[in-house]
Amino acid sequence: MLRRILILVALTMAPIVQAADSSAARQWLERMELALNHHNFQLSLVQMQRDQIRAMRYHHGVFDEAQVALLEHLNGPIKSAIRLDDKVVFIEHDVQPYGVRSDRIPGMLPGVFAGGIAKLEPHYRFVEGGRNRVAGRTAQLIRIVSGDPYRFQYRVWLDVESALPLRVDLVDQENSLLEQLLVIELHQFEQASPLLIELRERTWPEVMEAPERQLQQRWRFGWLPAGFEVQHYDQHMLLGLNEPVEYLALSDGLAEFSVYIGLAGRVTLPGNVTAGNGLALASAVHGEVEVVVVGKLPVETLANVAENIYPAK
Amino acid sequence: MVTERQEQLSACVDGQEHGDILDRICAEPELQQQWHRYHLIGDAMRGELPATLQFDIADKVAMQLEQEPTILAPKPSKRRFALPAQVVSLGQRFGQYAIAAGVAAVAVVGVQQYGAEQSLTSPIPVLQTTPLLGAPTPASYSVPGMGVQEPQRDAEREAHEQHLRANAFLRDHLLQQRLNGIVVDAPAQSQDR
Repeated sequence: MLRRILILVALTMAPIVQAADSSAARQWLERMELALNHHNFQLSLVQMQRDQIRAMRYHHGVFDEAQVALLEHLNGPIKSAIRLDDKVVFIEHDVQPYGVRSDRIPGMLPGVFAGGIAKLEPHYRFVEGGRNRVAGRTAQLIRIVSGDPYRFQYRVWLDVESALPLRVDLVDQENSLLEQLLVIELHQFEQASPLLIELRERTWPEVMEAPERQLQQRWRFGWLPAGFEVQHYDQHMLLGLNEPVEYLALSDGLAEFSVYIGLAGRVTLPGNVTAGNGLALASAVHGEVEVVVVGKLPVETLANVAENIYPAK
Repeated sequence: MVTERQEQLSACVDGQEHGDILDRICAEPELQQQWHRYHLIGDAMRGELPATLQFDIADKVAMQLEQEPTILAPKPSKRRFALPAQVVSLGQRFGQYAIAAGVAAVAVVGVQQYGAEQSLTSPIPVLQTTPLLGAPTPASYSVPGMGVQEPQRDAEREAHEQHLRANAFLRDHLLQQRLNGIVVDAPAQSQDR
């Protein structure tokens, strides 16, 4: 009898415990959001994919309300990105520097890590894991897990002291590692570093603004994983092939993919292609129209999107 | 060791040897790919080469993809989830839509350079000038019964074009992501520290 009561108590308690766990995990991620925006720090890190390792250094500084950040690749030809608030300038070997309107530097962390975490909650769960040591510091594991099998999951190890991310794993549905960001060293400062002060004072190329055009979106999705919305729609010439395509960018806040709609080429694409880092391509031909979907998502998800697209009424 | 296994594999494809090699192939992705290639080689010799060679697109795409060079492998298409596709007579309905001819080219310094660089090194223009149904060949090549060469070359070229196309989409995706930027609702600094 006593045992039964205990089980009953345990059962009624379970949801509460789970809820507490999830909100604690969310608080960790919210601390990370703040830290990424408001701390002065420098991260030395490596980004690992199946066949390659990139060494990078990331600097972040705050001046009054303004932010300055620098991401530099440490090996190979010069490749850097500088962010001054919502403007990112790319400095790359052999290419004239150019500026883009962006709130974060792409290619390191998902943008949502620095703001908007709470908006992920309908489609992702936050789960508190154990602690481990990363970059010589104590780190708390938080998992960002999708409720459905249509997207990948993130595992984030946060510095217990500062809540800055020390390790970020992108993991597929079978728990294989697709990509890993690993901090080797974290330095924190009271003030923005002299390097960032210098960068802030320099003149940088203007942001390129794409011509604003009112375009009527002509397509409708027959199937999308919950939470994905069209963020951008345009028509452009496909890089390298110079074929006109209609382009849609979709995102659920964390994962994103591109949809291309164009006339079918005389060479059909392979049904799907997957890269070691999770980037995949799926295509479908509907009559004379070819739909190509590209993104870091399970290739089955992309294929389903490609197969279920219709002209808007 | 590796070559020994390859020999076994080769013999197995030719139907000369059986045994536990199939189990081992299934267990090792590298062998699996080899198996696939050997089968294609065998097919080609028997004149059964498929219309397109898809197996090495992957590697080639990867090599060209500058920003995210990774090994690409066509994934075995096991659907972990299946959804009923909506049946609509797409062909007819799509036919009414012609893709606008004068679409906006994104005027971007970086992109233009990217494009220019591409056209210098890429063999696309060459490929486009060749006739659709195979490159012109000396008459002696077209003697009936000698023709393994031709379909093979067509398939190769098709594979090459496939990889160029796939590559173009992957790169464009990365470029668009960059150009469109990241929008973040920056959290207010309230309870920080």
